[in-house]
Amino acid sequence: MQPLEASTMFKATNDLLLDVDELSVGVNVAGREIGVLSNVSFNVGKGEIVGVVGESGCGKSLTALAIIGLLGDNVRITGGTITLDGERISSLSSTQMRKIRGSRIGMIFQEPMVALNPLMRVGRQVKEVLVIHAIGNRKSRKARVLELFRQVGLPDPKLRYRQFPHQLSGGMRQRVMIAMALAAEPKLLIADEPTTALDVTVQAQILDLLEDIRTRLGTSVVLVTHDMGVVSEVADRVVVMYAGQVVESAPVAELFENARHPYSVGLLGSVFGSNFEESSDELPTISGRVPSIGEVPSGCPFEPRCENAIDVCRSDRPPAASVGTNHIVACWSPVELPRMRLFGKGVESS
Amino acid sequence: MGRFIVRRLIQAALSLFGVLTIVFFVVRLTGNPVRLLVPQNASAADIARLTHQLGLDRPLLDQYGTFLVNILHGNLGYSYVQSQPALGIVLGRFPNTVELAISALCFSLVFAIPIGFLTAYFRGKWIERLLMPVVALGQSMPAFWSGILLVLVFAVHWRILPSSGQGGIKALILPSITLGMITLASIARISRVSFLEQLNKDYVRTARTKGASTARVMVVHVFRNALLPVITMVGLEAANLLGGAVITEEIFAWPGIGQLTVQSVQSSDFPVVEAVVLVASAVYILTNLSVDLLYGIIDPRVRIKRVGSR
Repeated sequence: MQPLEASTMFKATNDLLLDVDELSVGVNVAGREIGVLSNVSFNVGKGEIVGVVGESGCGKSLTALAIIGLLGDNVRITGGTITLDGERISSLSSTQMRKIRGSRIGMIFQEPMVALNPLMRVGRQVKEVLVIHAIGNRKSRKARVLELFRQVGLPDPKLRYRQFPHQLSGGMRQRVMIAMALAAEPKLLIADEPTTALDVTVQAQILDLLEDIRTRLGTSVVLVTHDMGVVSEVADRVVVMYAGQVVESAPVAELFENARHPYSVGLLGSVFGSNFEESSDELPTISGRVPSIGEVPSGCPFEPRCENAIDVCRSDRPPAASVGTNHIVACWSPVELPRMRLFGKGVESS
Repeated sequence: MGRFIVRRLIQAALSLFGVLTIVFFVVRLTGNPVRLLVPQNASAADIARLTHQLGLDRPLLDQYGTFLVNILHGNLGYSYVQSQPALGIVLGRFPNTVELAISALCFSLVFAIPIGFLTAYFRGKWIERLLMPVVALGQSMPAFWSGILLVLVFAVHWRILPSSGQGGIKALILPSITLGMITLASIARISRVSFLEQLNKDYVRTARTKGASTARVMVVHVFRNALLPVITMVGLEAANLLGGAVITEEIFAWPGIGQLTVQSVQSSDFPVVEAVVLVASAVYILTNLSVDLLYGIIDPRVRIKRVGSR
């Protein structure tokens, strides 16, 4: 195990689309700035699907919002950089950033039920992206929207074009959201829990659609989710976050086979079971809860919940270290190999 | 849609029946109006004769029965004071009330919605701190005070506007402001809350991820959504205003049905009181019905007709 400057993996190559480097974000609470993301680093290659996983409150969505430049009024980037296709977007003005949103980065959200304007026909909502970024003309825009509707698998595009959000099912609304995010052909799609609010069968369809989009259009996807199952379905690489920090990142097969951080192991165990347990019917859980903003311990943030914790975990924050090809873990006391075998669905290697 | 309206109209008829019943009995609790109608030196026989003439010596339920039958014939009786059909007197005054109500409503809307928007959008900024006290002031000043204050300043001190009466735009200004002030405050508050609520909605964030500018987000997305609760409020306020503004009309001697209410109650002119209440209630109910229908036009989710089947 050797220390390493995090996220140097694809840096030198042309295949890198998004590079988040040492990103720190602070929230201003009553005049005091509290760090909510600290030194988050990961990157996304062209045409790659990267899953960002963790429990609620781990900073996944915040990371996504930081990338697209939509942090709230009291939230700001306090350190680090975000680079998109060679351009440092973390230091752009709000006007410049607005031009990037929708055209170079598209985003979809968890709740397709409320993410669309209830008073506007969905066709017009998708078309608005083209209007904002001055793509095409009056006639071509409508044709483009209908084409997008076909691409995302919306049945009867002409009818849908005229309908209002409440006339569509959850899955159809999420397809509309995806059509909207793709309208200007962005290179990067951020999907924040895109399937969480949907039925299981619809979930699978939406994941298939994301994979299809990546294959056909070469779009890179940052897939924010709390669901390791979702990650195993579509992601190429996984970034595990805990309490505003990246604790482990690895190609999906590597992580599922050889997760080293006790938190990652716990997350996987809670979904797929772990052969540590004597063939028990119960899935293991991670005891405790994610620390709230402002109460993250000074040592390793996971230490209070960690079964592997040793003395140094309480005092010092573990640095990111390489433990294999593209496999980085930030832990003083990683789980030793070999330790688990996965049950359930197979994991494709990326 | 047709069935919806029919159902609402039946409900309206029932409400009107209830209102008229209550008014009929309540006014009769106030005593025999004949004493106010006859000269002070009238004899007991004169009073008895007039009471009999007006049918007020008959048993109460008997009077009520006649009252209901007459209403079904569109007859609300003759005014005791003016010897004209009561309904005719009320309807003659009604256009004046409509004129004042519309003018007051326009005055309040022109200011209320921008104030609501600005105080929501610039929450915590100086604009909010400047405007919110103004709104609070408008809401807490009663018409009998603000009206008299306006008269003192604009009619007595500066002599630029008439203090009372009807005729021309100038005479309309002070009563409209007096009447519109309270409406303004409540609509401004509702719009502020509504804008604030909409600004936190997910679809606003979606619009931002599309690259929409703040102006675009506001005008294209937020405004229409925020207007829905405002319309309900405007409808209620409009209905209130159309029912006649008793205090404002009294202060400015505005010959609307508010003033007529006061006059007819004071002279125990039962048929006119009943007619005023009937007209005001009918207007109230119809205004609310139109707001409900308007709601359906603005919000596709409450449309009764299915858009998808077109």
